[in-house]
Amino acid sequence: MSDNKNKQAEDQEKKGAWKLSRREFLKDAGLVIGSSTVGSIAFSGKAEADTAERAENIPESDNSVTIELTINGGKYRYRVETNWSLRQLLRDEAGLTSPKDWCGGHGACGSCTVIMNGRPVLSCMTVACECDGAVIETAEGIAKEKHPVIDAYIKWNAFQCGYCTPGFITSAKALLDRNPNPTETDVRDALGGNLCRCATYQQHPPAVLEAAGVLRNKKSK
Amino acid sequence: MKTWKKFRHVNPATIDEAVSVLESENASVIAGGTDILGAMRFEILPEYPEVLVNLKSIKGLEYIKEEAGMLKIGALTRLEDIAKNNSIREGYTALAEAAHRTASPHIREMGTIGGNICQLTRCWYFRNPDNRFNCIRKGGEKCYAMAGDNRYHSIFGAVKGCIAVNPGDTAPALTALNAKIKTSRRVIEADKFWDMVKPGSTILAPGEIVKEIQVPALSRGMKSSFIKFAVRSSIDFPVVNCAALIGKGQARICLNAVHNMPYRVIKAEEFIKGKAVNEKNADAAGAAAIEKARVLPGEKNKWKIQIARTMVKRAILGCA
Amino acid sequence: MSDQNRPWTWDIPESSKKIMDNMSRQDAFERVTGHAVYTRDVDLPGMLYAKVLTSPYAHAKIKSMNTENAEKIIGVRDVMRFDDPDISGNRGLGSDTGAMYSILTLPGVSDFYQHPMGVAVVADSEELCDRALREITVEWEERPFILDMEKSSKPDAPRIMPEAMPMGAMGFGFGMPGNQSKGSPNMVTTESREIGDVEKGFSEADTVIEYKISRAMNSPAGVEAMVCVAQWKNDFLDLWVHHQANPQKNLTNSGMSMGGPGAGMPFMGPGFGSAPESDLGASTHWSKITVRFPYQGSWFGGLAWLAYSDLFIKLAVILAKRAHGRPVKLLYDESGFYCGGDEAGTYACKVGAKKDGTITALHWHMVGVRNPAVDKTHECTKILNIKGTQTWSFINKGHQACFRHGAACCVPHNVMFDMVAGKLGLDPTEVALKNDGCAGHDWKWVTEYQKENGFPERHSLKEVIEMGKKAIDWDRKWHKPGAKKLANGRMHGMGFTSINVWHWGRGAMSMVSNSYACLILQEGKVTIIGLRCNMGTDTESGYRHCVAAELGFNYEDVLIQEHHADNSAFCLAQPAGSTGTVNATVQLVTAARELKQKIIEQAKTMMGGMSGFMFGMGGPGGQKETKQAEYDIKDSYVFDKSNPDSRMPVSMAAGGFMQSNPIIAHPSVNSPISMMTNGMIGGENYVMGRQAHFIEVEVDTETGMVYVSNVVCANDIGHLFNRKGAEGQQYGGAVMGLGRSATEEKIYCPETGVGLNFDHINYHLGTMNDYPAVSCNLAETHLGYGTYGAFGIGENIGAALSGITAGAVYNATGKWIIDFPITPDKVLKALGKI
Repeated sequence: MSDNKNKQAEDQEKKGAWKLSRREFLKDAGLVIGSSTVGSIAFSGKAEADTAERAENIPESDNSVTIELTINGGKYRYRVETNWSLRQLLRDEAGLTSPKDWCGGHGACGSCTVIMNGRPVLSCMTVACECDGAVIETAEGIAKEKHPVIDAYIKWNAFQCGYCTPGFITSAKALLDRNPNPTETDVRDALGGNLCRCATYQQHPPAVLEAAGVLRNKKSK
Repeated sequence: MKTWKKFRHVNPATIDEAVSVLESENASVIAGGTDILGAMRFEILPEYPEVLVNLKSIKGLEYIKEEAGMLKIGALTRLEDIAKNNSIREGYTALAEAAHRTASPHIREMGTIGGNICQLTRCWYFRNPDNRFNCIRKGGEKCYAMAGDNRYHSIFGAVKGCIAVNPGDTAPALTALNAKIKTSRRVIEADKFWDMVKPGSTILAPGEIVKEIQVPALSRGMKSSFIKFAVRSSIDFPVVNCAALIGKGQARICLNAVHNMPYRVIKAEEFIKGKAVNEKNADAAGAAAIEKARVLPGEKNKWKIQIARTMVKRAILGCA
Repeated sequence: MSDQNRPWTWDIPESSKKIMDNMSRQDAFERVTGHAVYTRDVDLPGMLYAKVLTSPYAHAKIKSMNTENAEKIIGVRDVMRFDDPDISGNRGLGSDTGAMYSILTLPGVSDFYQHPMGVAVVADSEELCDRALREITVEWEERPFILDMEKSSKPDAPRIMPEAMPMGAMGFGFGMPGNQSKGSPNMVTTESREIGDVEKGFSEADTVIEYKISRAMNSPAGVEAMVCVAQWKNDFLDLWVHHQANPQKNLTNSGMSMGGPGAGMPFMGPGFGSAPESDLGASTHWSKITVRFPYQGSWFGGLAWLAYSDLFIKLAVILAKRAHGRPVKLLYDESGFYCGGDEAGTYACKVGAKKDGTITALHWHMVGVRNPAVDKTHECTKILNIKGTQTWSFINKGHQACFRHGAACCVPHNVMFDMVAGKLGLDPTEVALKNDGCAGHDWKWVTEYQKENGFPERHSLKEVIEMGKKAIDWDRKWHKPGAKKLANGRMHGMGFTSINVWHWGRGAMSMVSNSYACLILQEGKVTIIGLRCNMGTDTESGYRHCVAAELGFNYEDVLIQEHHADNSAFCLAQPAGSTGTVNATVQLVTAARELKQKIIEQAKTMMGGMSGFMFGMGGPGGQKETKQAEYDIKDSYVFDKSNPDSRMPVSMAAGGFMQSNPIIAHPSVNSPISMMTNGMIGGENYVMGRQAHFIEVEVDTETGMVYVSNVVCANDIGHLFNRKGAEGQQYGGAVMGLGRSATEEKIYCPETGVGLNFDHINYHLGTMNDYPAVSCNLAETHLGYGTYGAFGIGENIGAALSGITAGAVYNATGKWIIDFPITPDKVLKALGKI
C-alpha cells in the first residue's frame, strides 16, 4: 500500500534515526528485543542449517520470533523465521504433508489451503510469524475428527492422483463450518479456487453436499 | 517452492507506528499479503523490502458500517466479507459483485479491500520472475510489452511510456460509485486515486496508508452494476471489467484493465445520461466508450476493444 | 474357444460383474487426507536439498560464472557447475523415444527459457539453495533463437541448438529418410509416407478441400513439479522418483533399454547414472538399487516430461554421489512449464471426397514432432490413399514430444470429418461412419476378420456414436451451421469427434516384458506385488478386480502392495496410466490361474480330499487336471463341486500352508511373438475400438467467448475392469481436451523468447465452474487384443477432444477457426467483429 523508497542515501540516513524508534516501538508492542545485531544469526546459515540448533537459545529478533498456535486441536510453540510461510512451518516443523505445492507460490491453485481461524487460506501466501494465536486445521486434522467430508470424497471418488485433494477437503470443510446447508452453487463457488489437473471437478459438489447432509442428520439426532 | 528472501517483520499497534517505520525504512506494508508476498517471492520489485509492516496488528481497521448516508469499509476488511455483506449486495451492488468476482475464494478470504485497490499491475513483463525485464515501470528505459506480446495491454494508450493495465476489480466499482479513499494523511477521490507511479499504481506517498473506503449511498432511483470478462470463472484477473452507476439523469461508468488506471468512459456516460436503459442505447453507449480506443503495435490487443464495448453495454444493461 | 495366446478369447469369470458394483479404492484414505507421501513429501534424516539454475534466456551460453559467494554460504554443501568433470558431457537422451538428439544433463548453454542448466547447488535447506542461486553471477552470451518451427525449418535459418546435435542434422543419421543436406541446420528429421496413390485419389474426388490447422504449444502443467530424492550408502543406491516408469532406461549405458520411457525393465542395467565421458562411479549392480515410487502427483506430460524427468533423476544421482551418504532432494520450483508441447505444430491439409462423404484421398503435411497421417487415420478408416509428410526441427521452446503417438493425429483427423461434412452439408457423424474401417479395409472385411479370429462381430464406432448421440440428443439438436440463436443471445453449436482407441492390446508384446507380476497368498489374502507408478488413475483397483475374479475371491481379499520397493524384481505394467490395465492384466490372469490351482491343491489336503497329493505338483496344464476339477473357489471359499456344502475359507487353506510359507505364483507368459499378433507370427492386427465425443457450445458473439454447456463421452473400453477409474479418464480427459482446445497455450515473447504465462494465473487451466459435468458412457465390445478383449482408454480422451471445439464453433457460427486454442480474439476475428 505504499511505495518503496528509492533513494539509498536517504535510507541510510534515516536508518540511524529508525533504530531508536524501532526499539521504542517494539517495546510498546510488548516484544522482547535481544541484544544481538538484527538479522545476523539468521543470516549466518548456521541457524538454518540445523533444526536442533535453531530452537530456543537463539534470541528473538526481527528475523526470528516465537509464536504459539493451535494446529489440529493441539497447542504448539515454534520459533519461526520471519520469512517462513505458514506452509513451511506446517510441513517442515509440524511434519504435516497435506499442504501441497502445485503453483509454486503464486496463490493460484489452492492446493496448500488450510483453515485458519475459520477461513480457508493459502498457506503459501501466509507469513508464519503472523499466525501467533491462530487456530489452524489441515486435512489431517479433518480426518482425525472423522469429519464426513472425508468419507464422502472417498465414496464419490472425488480425486484421482490426490495431490490437490487436501486443498479441496479444507476448502470444503471451511464452507460446511459456516454454511451447513449449502446449495450446489455455494459449493462450486467455494471450490472455485482449487485447481485439479485430473479434472475430477464434477465429483466434488455431490460429495460436499452429501457430507452436509450427514452433518445435518448428526445434528438433528 | 521458492522461499522468500530475508525480511524483518514488525507488528505496529497504531497507524502512526506503521507510518514511522514506512518513512524510515525500505519497507512495505502487508495486509492480506496476497499481492506483496507474490511480488517478493518472485522478486519482481526493483527493491526488495527489508521490512514488512503488518497492518493486521493494528486494531479497528476491519469493519463495514453505514453512517451518515455513507458506506464505510475499513481498509483491512476482507473481500469475501464485502462480497457476502447483505447491505452492500443490495445497496452497492457493483462493489459486492466486484469483490465477489475478484480472484479466487481463498484470495478473497485473505485479501483486503485496501490491498486490492493498491495492487501492482499484472503486466507479464513487469511480473516476470527475478526482475527479468527492467521495464519503464521499474525505472528502466523500455516498455517490453510494446514490441512484445501485448494482448492484455492498454487500449487507451501509454502513461509515461507504460502500457500495463490496472488489474483491479473493485477499483472500477469504487470509481463508478464515486467513492473516496481515506488514508493516513488525507481523503482522496477515487477518480484521482490511481496513477502510474513507479512501480506502484496509486498516488499514495511513501508511508501513506489506506485506512478506509467511503462510498456515498445511492440515492433512490439509482442502480449500480459490475461485469467482468475473464477467461475463467474464477482465479483470473480481468481481461476487461466495467462498473456502472446509472439513474436520476446521472451516469458514472468505469472500465478497468484497459488502461494504466481505471478508465471512466465519459462519452458513454454523456450518451446514456437521462436516456432509457435499453439494448439500443446501451449498445450505442458501448460504441461511444471505445471511440478513443486504439490498438498497440502488432494489434494483439485489438480484441479488448470489442470486449470493452460489450462490457460497457452490459454494465449499463445491468442497471436496468 | 479360449486360447492361451489370445487373451481376448479368455472366458470372463462370472464374479466379475458383481465385483464391479462395489470396488473400494485401497489408497483412497491416504490420498484424501493428505497422509499420502508424494516424492515432494519425502523427508529423510540428514537430507540435503538441491536446486538448479534456470535460464532467463531462450538461447544463451554461459560465458563466465562466479560461484564463489554461493560456495561461501554456511550450509551450502556443494556447488556443481556445468563445467565440473563429474557432470560436463553427461548426456541424457532426446525427448523422443527415438533419441533423435541428445541433451546434456547440466548444460552450459540454454536452449530455451527456464532451461534448468548451468549450476546445481546443494544445501541444508531450500532457502539456502535459493540464496546460493541468488549469489551466483553469470555472464551470458545471448544467441539467436527461433520460436516458430516453420521458420527454423528454413535452409537459411540460424543454427539454434548446435549442442543438441553436434554434427548437425545431416551428419546425424538415424536411418531416417530425409536427413538430407538441403534441409535446415535445425532439422531433426523429415518423413514421408504414402499409402495407396494420393494423386489418383484426389482425381476421383468430387470435391477437394485444402486448409491449414495450427496449434500453439501447451503445457502439462502437472501438479507435482519435478523432484527426485537419491541416496548412496556406499555402493547401494536408494531412489525416490517422480516418474511414470522405472528410470533406468535413460540412465543406463548398457544399451539394454526396451521400448519407450514407458517400458520399464524389471532390472537395472549396469552403468547406472554414469556416462562414458564422466564416470563418477555412480553405477552399481541392479540388486543394490532400490527404486521407490511414492504417490505421484499427476503431470500428463507425455514424453517430453518423462525425458526431462529422467535427466532430473540422473542429476540427483550424481549430486547424491558427491554428498557422501546423505540423501539429496533435487527440486524444481515451478509446474514445469518449460517442457511439453505435445501436439504443437501446423498441418497443411488436403482432403478429397465424394459427394456422399466418402473420402478418396488425403495429404497432411505437418511441421511438428510427429507425422500425423501414418498412424491414426490409416488405423481407423477405410481410406485407401493417405499421404503424410513431416518436418521436425528444433525451436527454442523446450524440447517437445508427442503426448503419446496419437495426440498430434487427432486434430487433423477430426477436423477432416468436420470439414468434409461442412463442405457437403452432411452430418459429421455420418461422414465418420461412412469412412470407418481398419487400415484401408471396410467394416465388412473387418467383420470377416473378427469371425476368423475369435472376436465378437461388433461395430464399435456405430455403437459409440449411437450411445453418444442418444446421450446428447444429437438428432434433435444438430442443425445447419449458424442456424440457432439461443434466448440468451448466444449462438448454439454442436460438436463431434471420433477416433480409434489407442491402447488396444498391441501392448501384448510389451506386457510381457513390462509386467512381471507376483501374487502371494498369505494371511488369507492375496497380495499383488510389483513395482509400478501409482499415479492416481487407479489401475490398482482394476488389478485387484481382475485377480479376485479369476481366483474366485472377494474383492477385499485381494490387495496390492503399497509403498513398494524390492529392487524392482517384480514389475507391473508401466506406464500405469494409459496402458497399465490392458498391459498387466494378461500377466495377472495367468498368475491368478496358477495361484488358484495351488490353492485348490492345498485345500484338498486340508479338506481330506485326494490322498497322496503332493505340494507343488499341480499348476496349469498339470497332469492332475481331471481330479482338481472337482474343486473350485467362490467368495473366497474353496468348495467341492460335487458337494458345495463342503467348503473351507481360503484363509484356512493358507493357514494350512503355514503363515510363514505363503503360496506364490509368478509365472512367465508365453513368448511375446505368439502373443503380439492375432495368434499368427507376423500377422497384422487391427484397431477395432472407437471413441466418440459430443459437445454443445454457446458462442457469445459480442465477446468471442465459447461456453461449453454439455459434454458427452462415449468410449469403447473393450472390457471394463474399473468403472470409476474409466469414468475418471473420461471426465478428466474431456476437461483436459477442452482446455487444450480453447484455453491452454504457452505464450512466449516474440522479441525475447521469454515465457510470459508460465504460471497458473496466466496459463488457463479450467476450474470447477468452467465446464459442465461430463456424461460418461462406456461400451464393452471385447474387440481389443488385451485380456477379455480390453482396451486402455487412458490419455485417449484428452487428446481426442483437443480439437472438438472447431466443429462446434463452426456449427454455431458458420465460421471455421482451426487455430488452436480457439480463444475469444480468434472468434471475434472470424466473426468480423475486429
